[in-house]
Amino acid sequence: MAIPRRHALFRLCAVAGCLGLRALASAQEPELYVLGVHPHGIVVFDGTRGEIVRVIQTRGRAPKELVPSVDGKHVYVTSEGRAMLEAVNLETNTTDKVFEMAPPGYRLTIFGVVLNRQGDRLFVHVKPVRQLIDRYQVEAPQVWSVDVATGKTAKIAEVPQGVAALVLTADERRLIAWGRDLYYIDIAQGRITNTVPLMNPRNPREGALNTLALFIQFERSGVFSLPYYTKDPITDKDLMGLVNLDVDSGRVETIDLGAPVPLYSSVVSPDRKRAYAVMNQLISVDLEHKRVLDSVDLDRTRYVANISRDGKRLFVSGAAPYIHVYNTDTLKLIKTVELPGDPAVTGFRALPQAAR
Amino acid sequence: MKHVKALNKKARLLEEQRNVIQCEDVVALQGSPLGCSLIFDPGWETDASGNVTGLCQPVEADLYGCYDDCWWPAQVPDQLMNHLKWSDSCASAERDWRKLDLIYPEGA
Repeated sequence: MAIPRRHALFRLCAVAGCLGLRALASAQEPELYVLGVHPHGIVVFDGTRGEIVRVIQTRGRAPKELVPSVDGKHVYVTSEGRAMLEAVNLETNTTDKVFEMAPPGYRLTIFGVVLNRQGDRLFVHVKPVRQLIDRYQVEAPQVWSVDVATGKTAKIAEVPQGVAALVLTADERRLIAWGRDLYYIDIAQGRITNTVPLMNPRNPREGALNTLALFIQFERSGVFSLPYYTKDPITDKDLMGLVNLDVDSGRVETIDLGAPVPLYSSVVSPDRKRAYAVMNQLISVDLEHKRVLDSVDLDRTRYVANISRDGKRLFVSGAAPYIHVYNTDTLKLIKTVELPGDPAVTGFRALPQAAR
Repeated sequence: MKHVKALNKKARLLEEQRNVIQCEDVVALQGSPLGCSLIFDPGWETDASGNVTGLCQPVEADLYGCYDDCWWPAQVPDQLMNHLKWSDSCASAERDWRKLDLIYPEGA
């Protein structure tokens, strides 16, 4: 049967309209981020609209590390002076579970949390202190695995003092613990099998690279980037740069950037061509040509930044109770969003796209 | 001091700890992973170059950053071990620092 001409036109318009709406919806799709605020809250921030979506009260005080679940429905959070690990449900806005990891008579301090790709196993770096009647007994820092469903823990390996962050390679065979150096832990063997030196250089002509692995965000690029500071042992000059760790492969690259600017943390763009770092300044770095491109003074100190999926907007926070949105091309401030509390030493993580 | 000998269990423990501590490279900030990067030393008063440009601004904005991970335990209460409730009534140190209480040594 022949379709009347005006019906065909109508259908064409309807299809075009649907496609247009879909494109518009895609463009407007929320990009959600989470960060912790004092005294006990998690802020869910919509980067597309530049708005706070909700604030969730955590069981413990001052959330620090935040690790989203694979489906984006939960966030695993360290809180209460890093002694507590809780699973916060982003749909019901409540804490579903607190992982009781500390054996009786022990206090654990957690520095470093990572989730496997299946989302059923957490890895944590803990610093156990045995609290005896007459003294505290500090035990060796360790990496444990935690079964998400049962909360059951198992020790994987001991690590040196100073580890602050953990990542898992794509093959899920190795954990990388970022401390004074980078320690590669073979999970099956339960031991450190490789160390990439940072603070303990093997060559006396190289300076120690001092990094601060407390601000962990690599969702957009797969590169965990941190500023480093060093003193050249030959020229005695202070220098800075970036240590970029490809999380999937475990490959490390150092980017020398010359004279130091005080910076707390850095984030790499999705195309891996740019990096942005913050403290009292915001700087952009050309990673291909290994040079600082631009620098602007900030009105106040900032600890941490994350970047939009398209790499066009930079979300800067930490320290004072604001998120500032910057244009990554011009480093111009687009918007300021006030937060209900101070985001101190907190992660600022992007949630998976499925999250709402 | 070489003629002083431990007589009881506690004194022997102290002697053992002294020997342990001599082997450790980190003592004061065991709970904190690295301390600030070298460039931020020596602390709140001045930066590495003796100036203030490398310090956080304003100081209130950095207060919880130092509190959270026991950064400067002589100047700021530490959240990791001793003063968890210190910031309960003050969500933002920059906005509401007057709500923060002083910390006194126990027994003072």
